[in-house]
Amino acid sequence: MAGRYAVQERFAPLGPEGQIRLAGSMAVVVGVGALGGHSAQLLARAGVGRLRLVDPDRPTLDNLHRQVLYDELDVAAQAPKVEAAAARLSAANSGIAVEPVAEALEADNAARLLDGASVVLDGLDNPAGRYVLNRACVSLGIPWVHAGLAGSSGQLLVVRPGKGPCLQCWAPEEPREPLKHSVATHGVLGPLPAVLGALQANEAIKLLAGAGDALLKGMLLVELWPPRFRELAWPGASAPCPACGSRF
Amino acid sequence: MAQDMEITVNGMMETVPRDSTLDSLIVLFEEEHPELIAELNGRFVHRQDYAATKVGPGDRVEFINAAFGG
Ligand SMILES: [Zn+2]
Repeated sequence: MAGRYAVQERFAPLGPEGQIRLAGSMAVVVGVGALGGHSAQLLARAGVGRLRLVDPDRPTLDNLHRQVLYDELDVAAQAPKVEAAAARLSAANSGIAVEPVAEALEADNAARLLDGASVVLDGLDNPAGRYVLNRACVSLGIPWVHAGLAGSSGQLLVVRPGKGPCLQCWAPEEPREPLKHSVATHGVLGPLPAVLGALQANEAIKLLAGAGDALLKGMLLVELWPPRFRELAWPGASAPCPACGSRF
Repeated sequence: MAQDMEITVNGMMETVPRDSTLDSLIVLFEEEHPELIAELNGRFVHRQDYAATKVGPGDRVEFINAAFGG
């Protein structure tokens, strides 16, 4: 019988060496809703050795159309999402360690919650948390993969501290709620977080496998209704960044 | 009296004043919101550069909403 990762290892840019790197890595998924559920599932199945899931919420019925790690029993049980998610992911891959943390990431606990991370995946649901996450990852020197969505569109960005622009290099001023284009006003098309969460997992796998050449370089804009994918190139800084202090 | 010109905004032909900047178009098209991403001819434009970014005949402007749901 072929090994668990035989088909993934046959993908030449990863290979057995990439697989060993994944096994030796830790990914922290901050927010395990729709985006985080998809990305965490793909990283667990890919064999990322350690996963830490960070989310204080409990599943609700109106989560189920897009949050694939939860079912009606979880809604009835009202256990934290991270507990249900850890059980699902451990059942999918018993060879990895999954650590559930039912807390919200804040500026004053970020260093503890992100400790040991090789990469961080953004599964948050608001701008403020993402700016906290950006500052924390920049100061700790941890690469992170941003995605955000509403309606039928969203964006994707890979942040490598010290190597390229961070979230706040792109958008210096933190957007304050209420936003004009949000889940509250535009809902979420169910397949959208599947697309973006998969793209986040894909970038994380490249970061962990040391495949920097294959990474997304600019900001990927995704629209699904009708479909349109395109990448905005980074035009160069016009001022030093308030978060990372850089001028890429 | 400023003359008009034709440009493309989010894929639609639009007639706008000839002396338009990205900043004035954002007001004209009511796109002033905190999650705006503005693009001129396929290039991302920094927010602090909107007022100084002149728009000319035939230019392509895109106003996109960054989104923060997850
Ligand atoms: Zn920055």
